Amino acid sequence: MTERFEFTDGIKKTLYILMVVGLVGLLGSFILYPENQHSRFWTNLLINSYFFTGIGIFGIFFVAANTLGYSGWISVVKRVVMSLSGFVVVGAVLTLVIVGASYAHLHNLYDHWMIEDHRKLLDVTKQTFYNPTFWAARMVLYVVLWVVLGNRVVKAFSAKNMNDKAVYKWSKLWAALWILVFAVTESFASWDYVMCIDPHWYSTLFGWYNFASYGCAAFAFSILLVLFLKSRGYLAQVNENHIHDLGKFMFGFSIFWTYLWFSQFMLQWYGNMPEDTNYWVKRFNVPTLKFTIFLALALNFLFPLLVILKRGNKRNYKIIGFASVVIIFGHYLDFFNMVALEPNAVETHHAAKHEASIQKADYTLLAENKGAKEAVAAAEAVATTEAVAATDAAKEEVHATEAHVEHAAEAHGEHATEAHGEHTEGHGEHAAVTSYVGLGIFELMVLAGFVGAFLFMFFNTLSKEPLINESDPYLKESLRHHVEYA
Amino acid sequence: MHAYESDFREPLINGLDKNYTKITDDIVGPTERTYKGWWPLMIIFGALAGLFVFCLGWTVYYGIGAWGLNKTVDWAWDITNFVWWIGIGHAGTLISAILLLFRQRFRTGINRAAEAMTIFAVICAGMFPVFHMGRVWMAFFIFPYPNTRGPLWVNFNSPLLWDVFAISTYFTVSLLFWYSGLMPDFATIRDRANGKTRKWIYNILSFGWTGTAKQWQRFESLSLVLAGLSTPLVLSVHTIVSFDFATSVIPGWHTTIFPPYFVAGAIFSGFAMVETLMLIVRKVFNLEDYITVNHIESMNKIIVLTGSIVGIAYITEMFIAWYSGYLYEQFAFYNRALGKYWWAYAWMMSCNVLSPQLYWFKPFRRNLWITFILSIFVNIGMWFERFVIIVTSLADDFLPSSWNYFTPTWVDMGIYIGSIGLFMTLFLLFCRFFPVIAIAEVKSVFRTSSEVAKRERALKDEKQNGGFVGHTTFGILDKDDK
Repeated sequence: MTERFEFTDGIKKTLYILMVVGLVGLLGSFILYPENQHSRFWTNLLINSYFFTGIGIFGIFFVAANTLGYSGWISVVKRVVMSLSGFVVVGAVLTLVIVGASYAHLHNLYDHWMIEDHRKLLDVTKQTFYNPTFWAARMVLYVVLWVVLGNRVVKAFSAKNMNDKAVYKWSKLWAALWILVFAVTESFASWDYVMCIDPHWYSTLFGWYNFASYGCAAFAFSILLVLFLKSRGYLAQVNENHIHDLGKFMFGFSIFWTYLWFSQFMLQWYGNMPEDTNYWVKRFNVPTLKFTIFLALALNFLFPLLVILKRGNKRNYKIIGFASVVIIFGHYLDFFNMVALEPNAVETHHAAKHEASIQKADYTLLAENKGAKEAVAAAEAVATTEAVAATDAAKEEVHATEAHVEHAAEAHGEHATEAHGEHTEGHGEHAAVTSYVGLGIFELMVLAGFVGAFLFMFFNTLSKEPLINESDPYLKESLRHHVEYA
Repeated sequence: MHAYESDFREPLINGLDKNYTKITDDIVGPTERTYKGWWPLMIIFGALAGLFVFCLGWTVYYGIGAWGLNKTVDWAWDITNFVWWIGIGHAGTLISAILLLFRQRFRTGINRAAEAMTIFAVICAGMFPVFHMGRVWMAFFIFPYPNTRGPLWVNFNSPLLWDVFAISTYFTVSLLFWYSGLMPDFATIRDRANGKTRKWIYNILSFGWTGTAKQWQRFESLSLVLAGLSTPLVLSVHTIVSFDFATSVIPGWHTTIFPPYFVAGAIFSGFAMVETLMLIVRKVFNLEDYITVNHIESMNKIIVLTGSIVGIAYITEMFIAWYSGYLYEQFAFYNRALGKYWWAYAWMMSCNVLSPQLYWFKPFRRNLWITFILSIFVNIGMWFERFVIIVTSLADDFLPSSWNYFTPTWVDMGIYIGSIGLFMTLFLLFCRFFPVIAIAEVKSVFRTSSEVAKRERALKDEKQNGGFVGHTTFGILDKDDK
């Protein structure tokens, strides 16, 4: 029961190869796609850093939730799930790199508000929230909390004398604290990592939606890694009952993800308000993205529904293992769909201008309604009308060219420069340039590299302590675990 | 079977005097005699149920004008009450189905009463939209069927129609779930019955259950199928209720977080109502050994979890409203918190978000008086939540000239208070004639989770270690139980 995982050179070698593939992918996308300040490189870096960090913090969350929920079954696989968090420190460093580079204007991921001229066009509330320093401080706070508190919590969960009631009680307090911190930080982080790339769009569901997405992937990784360890002769105590339970969680979270996807999409589609639908229209206008959005839906919903609903399939190592691979890829795609469009297919900040003018119109109306005396300057009103008209024209252009990204971006560019030449400077360089928006070989290579790094950190963490904590008060329940129903 | 259970778990059945006979005696007992206080309560709540019928009759006779609605606030207490009752009706199926899937054994002590509560709450909820139709005798118009009114179909695009399907399905499945679970217990009551008539009635109620292996096998598979069906159902019902609001473009309603947040709120209020009722039931019927402080503590943990989820959702909504820069949304939220209905918002926030935070601390979770008071607070808070969402968004709409204030009439109040009367009347009848705890289910955890089983296991361990402990008392442990 005190068996430890040995991180052999053979495994390391495989992971090094994966990481080299990833590095080549990163370099290739950096060199071959210099458009928009190497946007293809940076989007790849952001998508993967965020996705795998999310999986890591979810691993701690899941063990914390089970600690508070008095789970017995999880005891034998607890360390595997917990060790997913090994990558968080790498994710934290990469996050700091992204934040620093953003500050130095080395990439365009957060240009909508990182560049002062653009920020001015946003609504005042967004200017406050995305004040670069405030944003950077938040980002640093998240990753520091995740690394420092995360390590402390994992340590509390791995105590050597867990069958001591006082120690056990402390592990529950740490679990509660983690859940609290996680709930708040992951919600805010989802806005600060991803939603802010397109600050015009917002969805209250977004944080929970992200949570469900990397949750599915975390279960998939847990299943795959337990199966891998078993195939290497470790974890003989784990049997199909434990895999079944992990599989149920993976299935349940897949359905939960779909529920949130549907809630978000359906409500915005049904409401049909431009500030909501804008996000979807832009994506559906890019054929490759439209494809990957529906592919993600198929892989993350239809596939689990058809394949792992059945009890027997969740207990079949081959089927559940294959399903896990598909689900990891499906949720990677989900993040890809959220991030890849904006930085790669740069639109001008036309939409921002549009937002500002709508705002002005709103305030004008309100002022009139309240019977306020101060009249809104005529010149401003004219400017507003012009801006709105120009936007409408640009929109028509977009529809007319029927979803051809490059054309659309160009059209936007022209109109923007015409309409707001005097207000907006230096937009030309960002307008009309589209790098590759789609899932290509470099995306897959970078994904492979991150999988390598993720697994390296995982195995490294795993090998430091015995695979099963003998002092766990629920260990005996876990050893005798048998799933009676469902 | 799960014969082994960690010592770290508290027993779910207290008392060393317990055995299978004693469990039957304790639970069936209340159905065999009328408790003191049952009649006065029945008269009070029966009278309130009468008020309900009277006020609905008044509404039908006089028209919807009897309510305090005006041209701006055309939905108020009626829809608030509807959503409130539907929310309360969530705990039963959650306990039966989802806690079953999560193997939470504490559900066995409370699932029966919670399911009954679900049924009665959904009955109360259903009354509000039906009578809001005005011409209630035309209620069958909501069903889509080929008709003689020309090619006139219901509006399939409307979430209100989805509600019709969601709630009727939910009600049917919950009823089946509840009733099928009752069958073996009715048979137990029948087998102990003295009078011939009583025997005959409970025999019919139990569908002639004899407890053969085949019947149990069918019973088990039916429970599993119903649990599988009702898990998505319980989530869908409140999701669709939230769509009633979120599909619109009214500021304060049109937000994507509504579906999961409404579901969390429903679970929150459902558990609060279960606590309110169970704390009284366990006392009156002397069932403290079956609905233990451990059960109450577990429910309080769910309360603090769902209360905090709801709290995060409130804050998220408010934050995004500010962040969006969308003026009307900003106004809606400003108005909610500081407008003319600020008092309702204050009730909502303090009851739903602040008060459950006490449950982070164990002494509060295990204090029955605090639990009782807080459970009522949560019920109040959840009523105000719906009122705040619905009325504040409507009352101050896009046109300041039509801004209005909603004041309920005596009919509004009569219907609401009356619906509580109807609910309590049904619940009192249930307590008097039906076993309030699922006998067969509680017995199923006796061997693993009772104090008796834990004691025997301890004795056995001691014996193995060489100490003399005499004979074990009931021999209830499995052979392989070590």
